[in-house]
Amino acid sequence: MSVAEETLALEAGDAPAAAARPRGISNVATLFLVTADFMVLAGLVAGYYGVRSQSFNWPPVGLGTYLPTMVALTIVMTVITVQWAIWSIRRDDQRTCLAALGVTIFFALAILNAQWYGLAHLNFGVGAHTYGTFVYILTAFHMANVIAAIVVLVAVLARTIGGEFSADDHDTLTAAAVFWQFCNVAGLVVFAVLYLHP
Amino acid sequence: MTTAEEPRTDSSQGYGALLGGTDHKSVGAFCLVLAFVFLLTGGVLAAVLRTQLAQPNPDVLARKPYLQLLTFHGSFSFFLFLLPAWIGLAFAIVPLQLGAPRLAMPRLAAMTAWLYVGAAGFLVATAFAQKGAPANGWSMDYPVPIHGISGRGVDLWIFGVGLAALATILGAVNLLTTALRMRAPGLTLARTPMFTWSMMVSSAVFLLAGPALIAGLIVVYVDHHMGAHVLRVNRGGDPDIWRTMFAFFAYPAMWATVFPALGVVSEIVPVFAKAPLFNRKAAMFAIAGAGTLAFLGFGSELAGDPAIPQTLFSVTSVLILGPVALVMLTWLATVALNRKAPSLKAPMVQALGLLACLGLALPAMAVMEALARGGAGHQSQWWVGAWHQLLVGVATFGILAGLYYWAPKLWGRHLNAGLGGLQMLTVVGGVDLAFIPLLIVGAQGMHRRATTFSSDSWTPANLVSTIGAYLLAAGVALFLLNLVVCVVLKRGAIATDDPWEGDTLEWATTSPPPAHNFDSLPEVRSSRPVHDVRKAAATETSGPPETSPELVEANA
Repeated sequence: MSVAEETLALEAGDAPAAAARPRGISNVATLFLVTADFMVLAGLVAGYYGVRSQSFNWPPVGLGTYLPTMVALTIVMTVITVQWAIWSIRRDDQRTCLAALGVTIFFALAILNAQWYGLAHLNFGVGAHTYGTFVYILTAFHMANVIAAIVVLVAVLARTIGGEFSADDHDTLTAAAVFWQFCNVAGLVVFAVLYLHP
Repeated sequence: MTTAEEPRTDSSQGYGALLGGTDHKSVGAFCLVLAFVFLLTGGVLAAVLRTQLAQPNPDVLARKPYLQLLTFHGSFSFFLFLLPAWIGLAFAIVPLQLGAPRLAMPRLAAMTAWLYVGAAGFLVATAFAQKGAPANGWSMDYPVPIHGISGRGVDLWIFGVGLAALATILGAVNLLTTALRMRAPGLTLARTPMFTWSMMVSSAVFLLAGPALIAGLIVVYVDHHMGAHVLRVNRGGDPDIWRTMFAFFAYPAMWATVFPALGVVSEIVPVFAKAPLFNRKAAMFAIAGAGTLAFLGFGSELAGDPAIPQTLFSVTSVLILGPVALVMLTWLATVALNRKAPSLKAPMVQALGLLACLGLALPAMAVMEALARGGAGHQSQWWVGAWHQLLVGVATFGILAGLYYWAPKLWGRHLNAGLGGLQMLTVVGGVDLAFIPLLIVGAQGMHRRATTFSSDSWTPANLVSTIGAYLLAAGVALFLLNLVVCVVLKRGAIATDDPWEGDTLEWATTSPPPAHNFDSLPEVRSSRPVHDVRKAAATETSGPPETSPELVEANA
């Protein structure tokens, strides 16, 4: 039922709660939210390159890239697993969708764990130098988004278990996947900025 | 459909709903109440600041308290008045104009309102912070705060402004999603009401500019609170990083509070001139174009920074005035090309006041943007005068005009027209007297953040400006009095469902509307669906209809 039909179907005195939620709202709203989130990332990256042009000793010697590379590879894997969930639900295959979501959440937790470990074992603090500051800021920005996405993915997983999604109705699942894919793009941008093109 | 009975009360629209409801009209009203509290607070602070500058070498306030109050004035007026006021008015009106039963995300709207309350809590709390409230100005760059300086007030300010920015972004997401997904059948984007269209443009600007502020606040917080040096020039940092991020937010966002005012007047003028808006599509493109140019001109706020291409930003920031002037011309043409004189009811009177202020603000902005530096540039009182003509004389006036127009719809009561006329004259007089003298002293070299002055030649202009500020405060007080007496105390005349003979869908429902907004919707075949219905009804009574856009009944 489109929102227009919903509006016209409301008879005098009907409670609005009785009307069905219009389709596509989750997806459109998520795209706007992701756009705003991307602009925050763009602002931080612009700030990074702003100080980079001023600072010497850039980046500090001895910065390890092994763990960040592993995180980036895990991110690439989840690009596929979350899309696998969407492909599955489009075929009404709820069991496979559930498995794909479970694997995505597992990888997301692994990413979070690796990034936390990496920050905890850096040999410089937030205020040591401007490069270090942006390592913390950009990594924390990505981690905050991953935490939010895990909450969303777990909620979507629970609704999938409850059989709420089908081939015809999976807007919320798609919206969650879009948000997770944004987290992936953000993670890869952070990796590229801090470690590939510092 | 027209009735003149006591406005019906609805359980979703009582005072309790203001605090806990998700009905878009209640949430919008909640945001407006919060905004008007801070309009009043910001206005009182402005009066105190102008008292300090009424005479040379005054002793009302020392330098630091003056700058602290200046920071409060700017932060309250923009982040806690202009932003929540427009988001609140849009929450209340946009679904009605679209023929929608609600906002796309009602709970997110309620959360937006409460985020503004949180923002207000943090910003007010800065007054009680260790080492006192910040004195760095509303742009937090006088100077940019660094670690160990300025105390915890800066941290609280960062949280307050960050929450206000987040609330505005979420509000923008909600409004854009509503406008794109919940329009009535036949209501194409080209037929979207002008206020909704202008809010779509403003929402897009908030959506893209707001995040730059949040990114900047993260950097300032890490620098100020956690001992980093991103903004400290002698430790490998650069304070211009924050200034640039703030300008990327502030310049478009300030314009984005002006666009909805253009939308409000573009609604009012055709209704009271009894004619369609002249060249409506040009007005729509002009507002969208101004939204785009608002981003291209952000560097004009960084005039004096050698890294900024001043000529480029001078050009782009002057260019934005073109589409704004074009919208103004469509209003004038709508009235001028109509055979009948417009009906001077309360909303039209407010629109005329806004038009007078806009006409004076545009040349002041043009001179400032073209010169950028020097007496009429961004570091002088000219900046204060020109931007206040726009933000008070247009953006704030737009909110007042909008409420004269939509209060009968939202609350079923008219605001008092006589008091409204007096208030309009007071506000226009206040804007002109308060801000035009600032252009004069600005041109003569008075700094934008001067806390005192000694030149006798500046005394008359500063005195007039102070008198104007008091007059402006009186005008705002008259408006709030009108609102309280007519709406809160319910002394205003009871409104019919379509008291102005409006054009757009909000006038097709009762005053105030039920919780689900519409029992029935007229068929939308143009940008003036309610006008079409009236016209068809008139044709039916006078003879057989040629084309009859009839009401589509609820259960048809």
